[in-house]
Amino acid sequence: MRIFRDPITHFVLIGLALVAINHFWNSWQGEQGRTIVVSAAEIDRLEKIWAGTAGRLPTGEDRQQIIDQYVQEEALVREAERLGLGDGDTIIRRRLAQKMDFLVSDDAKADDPTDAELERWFNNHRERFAAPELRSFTHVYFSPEKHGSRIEAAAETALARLRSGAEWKSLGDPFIQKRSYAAVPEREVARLFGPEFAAAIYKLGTGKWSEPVGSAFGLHLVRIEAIDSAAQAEFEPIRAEVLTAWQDEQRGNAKRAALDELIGNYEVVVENKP
Amino acid sequence: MTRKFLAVAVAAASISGCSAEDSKTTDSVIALAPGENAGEEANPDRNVYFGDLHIHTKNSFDAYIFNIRTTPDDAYEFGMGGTIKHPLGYDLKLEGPPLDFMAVTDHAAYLGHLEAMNTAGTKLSKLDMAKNMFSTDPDKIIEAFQLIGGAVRDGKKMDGVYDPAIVGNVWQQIVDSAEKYNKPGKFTTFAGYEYTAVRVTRGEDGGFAGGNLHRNVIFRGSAPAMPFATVDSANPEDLWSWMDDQREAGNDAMSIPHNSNVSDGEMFKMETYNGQPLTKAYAEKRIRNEPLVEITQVKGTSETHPSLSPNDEWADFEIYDKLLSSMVTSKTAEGDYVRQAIANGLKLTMEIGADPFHFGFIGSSDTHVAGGSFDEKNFWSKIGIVDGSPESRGSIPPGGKKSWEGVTVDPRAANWFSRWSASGYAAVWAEQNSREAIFDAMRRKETYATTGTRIKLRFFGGFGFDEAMLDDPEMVSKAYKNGVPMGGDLVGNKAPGFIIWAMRDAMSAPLQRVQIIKVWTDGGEAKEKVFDVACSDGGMPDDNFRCPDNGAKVDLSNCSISTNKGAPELKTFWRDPEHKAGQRASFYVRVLENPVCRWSTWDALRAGVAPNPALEKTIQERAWSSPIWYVPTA
Repeated sequence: MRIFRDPITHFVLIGLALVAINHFWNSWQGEQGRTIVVSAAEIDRLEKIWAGTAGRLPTGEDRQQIIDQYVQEEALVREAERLGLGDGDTIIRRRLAQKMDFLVSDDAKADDPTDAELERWFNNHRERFAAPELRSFTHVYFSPEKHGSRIEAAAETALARLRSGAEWKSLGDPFIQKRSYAAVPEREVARLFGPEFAAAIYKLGTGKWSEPVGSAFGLHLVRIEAIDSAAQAEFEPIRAEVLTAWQDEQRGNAKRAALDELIGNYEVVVENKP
Repeated sequence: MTRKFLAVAVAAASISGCSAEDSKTTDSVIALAPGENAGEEANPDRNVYFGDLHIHTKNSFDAYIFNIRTTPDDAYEFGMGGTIKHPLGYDLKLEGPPLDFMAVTDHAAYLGHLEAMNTAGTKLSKLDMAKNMFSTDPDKIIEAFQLIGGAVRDGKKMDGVYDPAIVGNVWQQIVDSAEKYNKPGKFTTFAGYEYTAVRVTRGEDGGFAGGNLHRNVIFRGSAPAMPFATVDSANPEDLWSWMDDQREAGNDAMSIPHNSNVSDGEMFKMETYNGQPLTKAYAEKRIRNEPLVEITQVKGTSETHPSLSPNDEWADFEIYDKLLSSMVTSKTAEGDYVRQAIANGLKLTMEIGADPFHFGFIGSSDTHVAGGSFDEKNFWSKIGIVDGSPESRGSIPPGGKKSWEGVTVDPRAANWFSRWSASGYAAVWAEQNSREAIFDAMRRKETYATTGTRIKLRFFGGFGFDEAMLDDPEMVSKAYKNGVPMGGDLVGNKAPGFIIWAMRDAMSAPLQRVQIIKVWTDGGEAKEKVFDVACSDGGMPDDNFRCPDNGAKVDLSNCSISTNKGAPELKTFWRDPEHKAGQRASFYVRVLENPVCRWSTWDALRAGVAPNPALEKTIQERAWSSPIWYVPTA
């Protein structure tokens, strides 16, 4: 029939369908909004918090009150939402976003991998399980307060003596912290002596006295005593740790995908500054 | 007379090596519990460790109402370099290296009660007070909160509210948390709590304003089942008696007073709690239990006040003088500041034969968000949602305004929060990082206070010291052997010499000068004098003992500082040019850094507004050593 091919008819039918969908959607949503479900998991969570504070497990009467309290709070919150009391409140917005974030994370579950799967993944991510490089070093310090503009010369003289076999302990100025450090990562050296010093001594080889190296305190001659290279990890001893990391990654990936999907449902308009 | 007192105090407090002439044994024995592994070799020359011994979490009644939900575990995670949340949602993380030692010190009175009130179904949640406390009506909240606050300070056990079972349960969680995080050789934690007494001294605020008598109680190792709180007695002398008993029972502890700057003259007053004259027994009991005072923290500095030290150009530093929760100004004339107390202690030694104020110094944070705010660049203040944003603490104009012209700052921000400080640390020289070594170092007062910087500071006094020791590689061990470190008594009749050695924090400003503050009494009158003893940039102290200005500047447009001014380290040998034979005196070191932007200036810079004109724009971070006492015997 011609009428079914008429674009006007299509238009009217699609319109009617939309109205119907909208109606059902609203009433379904309304029903949802009028039901307060206190799940077994929620009761369990509330009871645990309660016990932690009260110092004993809740009795039947306590449990009823915990539930009543929860229901009351939930009803108040929903009414507040209906009135829009939370709109524009930064703390509530942030908390909501955080909760949604938790929900997304909860949904992003990870399965147990097979042994082969896990070991393959470990082999691809070995560097992640390596211990950071640690360096042990001895340093001879030169104080700018003491030597002033002659500090470089003082350090060079001492260096010459060190290279001809002089005992390091007898050279340089006293240092208020340690003169020998054992097994410290670069980050820690940076916090103690400043980042330039840390970067410089992490480039030195072992067993030889360095040229003068500058720090936040002055100049230093440095001898690297030992380098604990970023140690390669073996799979078997740390299987549990690897599994946790694998699951974290799976969850992280799943969560990112879920977030991308959520954001994909929105059109994002970023306005340029006027 | 004085010698006898010393002997008693030394024995009672089991301090070792206080006297250079009487005894040469400066090494204290570190007892480790069976099976305990110290994890690092003990260093007889001692290492410096930085810590925070004043931290509140959600267990404190006030923190809970400020929306803090972080726990003692969170506090320790933060101290070890982890990230925790501020109640306003942002991240808190240490700027510097991890801390070496810590104690969580929640208010013991009504410990955990606010959380119980806010937990559905508990007995406390059914109280009207609880309903008001967690209502939406600010007047009701404040009223309920004041009721609890009043009961905490006065030690009132409110019927049907105070529940010792809750206190005991939460206290056990605190002790367990400290136990869990204590890693000898790496990271030390102590069980501790705050004893929160306040003496109502004024009527101006409807009777609320009072003298702060707060103390933190720190346990060396094991802790009892219940803390001694204000509900047991609001008189600190009863706390000392209790600690004496605890020590007998094997739970060694000390209490560390703080915020004497807002004690309305009560903290170091020259009479007992009940108005009686001070006695020798009082003095010995006090110093046995309180060998340290916290002199810098978020609520200001307790070293001295400009009105007490008119000739000290650096006395007007981070002064905060409003009584707690009040707009009433604390009495500064007597009893609020440690420099004056030390002079009074010298006087009392002469009069009663003992010194109740023979204490050393530490700093700590008093954070109420489980993580101390030590860094000017990144300050989050103290009390959670109340002062957690620049606007709420008065460092930027309210309501998004871009200028301070005609702006009225909230009186709480103007009088309280904007005056607060990004401070401080407790620094301790100990053989190793363990409970025993650090606690014993605190006992012998080998400690110093800093305003959140990690200046390294050595200070020794001795009779045989000389200039040549400065370059001796064995200087430290010789100084320990032939003299006393900070916190010690130098007993003898020769003229003392001092070695002072300070090194900058690699992550803070270079050093500007090192000073000795000498305190003594003359005919019963307190005397003090500030000597610059080492100057940066090649300067020498003038005839008035002042270094020349080193010209270090701060560029307020971006908070950068002069890169070519100041010293990485300052080291000197010093003799008192005004030494008088037979005159008892106390000497402590103050190290000053070049100026940097104050936190309020950083806040304003980030917001693109001018700094609040009512506040200092820059500060000089500093360290204060514990004193060395010169104790003549003839």
